[in-house]
Amino acid sequence: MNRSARNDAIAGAIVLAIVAIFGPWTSEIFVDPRDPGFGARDFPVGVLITTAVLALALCAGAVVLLARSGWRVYEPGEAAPLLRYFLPMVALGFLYVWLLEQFQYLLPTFFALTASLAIFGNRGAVRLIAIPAGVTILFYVLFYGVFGLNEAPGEILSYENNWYFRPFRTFLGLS
Amino acid sequence: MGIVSGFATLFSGWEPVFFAILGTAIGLFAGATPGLSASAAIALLIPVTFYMETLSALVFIYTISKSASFGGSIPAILFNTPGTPQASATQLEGFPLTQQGKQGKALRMAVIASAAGDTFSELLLIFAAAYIAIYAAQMGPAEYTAVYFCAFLILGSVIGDSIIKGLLSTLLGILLALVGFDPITSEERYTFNIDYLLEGVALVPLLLGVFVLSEVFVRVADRGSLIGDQAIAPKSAKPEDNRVSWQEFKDCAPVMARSTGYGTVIGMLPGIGAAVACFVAYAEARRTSKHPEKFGHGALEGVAAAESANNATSGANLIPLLTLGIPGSTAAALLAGVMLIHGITIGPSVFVTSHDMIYGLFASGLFCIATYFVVGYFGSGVIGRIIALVPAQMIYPFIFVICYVAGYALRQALFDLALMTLFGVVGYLMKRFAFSVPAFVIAFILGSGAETSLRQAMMLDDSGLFVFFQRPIALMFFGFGLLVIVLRIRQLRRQKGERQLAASLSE
Repeated sequence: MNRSARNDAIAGAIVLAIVAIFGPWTSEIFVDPRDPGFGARDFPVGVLITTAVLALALCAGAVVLLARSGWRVYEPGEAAPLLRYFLPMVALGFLYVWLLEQFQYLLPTFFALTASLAIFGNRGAVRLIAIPAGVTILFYVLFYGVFGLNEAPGEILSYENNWYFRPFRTFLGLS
Repeated sequence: MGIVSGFATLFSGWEPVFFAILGTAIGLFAGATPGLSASAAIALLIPVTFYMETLSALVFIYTISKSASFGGSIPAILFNTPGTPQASATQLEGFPLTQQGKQGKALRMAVIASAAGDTFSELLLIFAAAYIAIYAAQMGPAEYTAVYFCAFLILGSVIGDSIIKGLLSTLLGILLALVGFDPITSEERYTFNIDYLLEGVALVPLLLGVFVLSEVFVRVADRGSLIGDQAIAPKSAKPEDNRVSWQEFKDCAPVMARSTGYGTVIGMLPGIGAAVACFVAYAEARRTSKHPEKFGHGALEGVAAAESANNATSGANLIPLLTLGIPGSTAAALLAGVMLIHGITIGPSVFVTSHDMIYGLFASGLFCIATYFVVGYFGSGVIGRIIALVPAQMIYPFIFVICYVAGYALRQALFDLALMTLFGVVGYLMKRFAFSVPAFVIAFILGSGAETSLRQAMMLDDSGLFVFFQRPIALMFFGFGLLVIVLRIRQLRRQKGERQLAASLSE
């Protein structure tokens, strides 16, 4: 199987999809016909056309190579690491953002740390509970206490940290 | 003398010196941790710099990038796993020396060569950049357009094995830079009716996504490659195996001098960077050596060549950034990001508007070299043993969470975190499909400036695109960009021919 050609074909198709997403929005750019030189639309059009041409060239070259190798594009079991580890990690990333919106920092961070440690193959109470709990609090004190980062109120669970971090920051001599 | 006032600025308070030392320490450990590149460490720490004064922020980022370049050689020599891509050539000779029990000798030669290359490059930056800036300040929009065009062609063609993919990476970076208000007419472009995108794609979520989060995704998808617990080969009991003798230093000095030259020149070209420089220098050292048969079996010259070349890019790649506003490497692009965040205009005027700060930054470079030399000469083995204690499957989940907390620090907007996750996936796909992430990021930073220069050049002259034919300097830069791409095509064809020949001979 020519894996390199298969990957090039997929990459070319993804780039063409990006061009297809940006393309219709190009016509939405307002152009004043009295503007001298290049207008607001000309440069983006140039970039999109060049990108599309190169992506087509990448796809075409890859398709020729795939045809020569008999169109074998997948080996059994090849997608397993993606489904077992990569996709759950990406999903965890988006879930973490949503949980931060609902519950603020502490609970979602503990959950995200435990879940990501588990996805990376860590096991046991020390690695999955004790260390994430300690690190969550450490980061909380560092970023929200020392650096004074503001927490947006959670939509489900809201708490206010100013009453304990303000004296802490004053104690450290920070404004 | 600017550098004297630079040292005075650096030592005028405790903060810049403290952050120079802290940056050097973080850089050494980040470089020595396989999988955590200098770019990732810097991207992760950029949000922290919002809370620092400008000089401390710049010094912090600059010293991380400098010391990480040497730090990468520690695991390359001790574990046969380069901590950074630029240490890949060091591993070829460094690890065989470790297998012979001579890791002390290899590490000490690495730090001597690194400091030598880095010092030369830094001195060139200090004494040449301001003079180049004087000429750069006389260039108009047409010349700048040509410089950007040249930079895009070099970025797109030199990194990686495919010119098409390199150019596509560059174009995607430019396309992303178009999101937000048009720089000339303030028309809305590609905002997809999302208010957060009106000011464009924020730099920090992009950097964190493509450099840091993507690395976490790559590692999780490839869990088996995590280094886990490492054992260092036993050290030789002979004192001469753990130090560099005067004779060995003299033998390696010409190689170091030549490699420093290669590294400096390559470092000045946008986007090529230390990973290319170390292999060019290593190949040249092997070709010109009196004992080429020793290469691959622990040749000290090989370590010296690779390390002096990769560190010699570190100061040199600030020259195009400070004189033309074009970053020479990913680290320089990240430094440019910090400058923009702190309101410093990048380009030749920086020597006038921020004179003391720029020379303070240069002074911190020399201070960093001295610091990592001392720490590296006496403590590289200790750093290696500490890194070996931390299992890799514990490091990446913490990086994952720090990424989100750091990403939130910029505008305290959850939208940035969602965007960062999306860029993490984009970075993962780019790495999997062998696209160039540095070219993508550098083009994103340069995109807006390139468009502005082009449109200003067209507005100032009625002759349309012919304006570029009336400017010799612009033509020279266009010509240089095209020449680089032609040479690169020839080189790739030759390499392909050699591979085919080798394959047919082996059959």
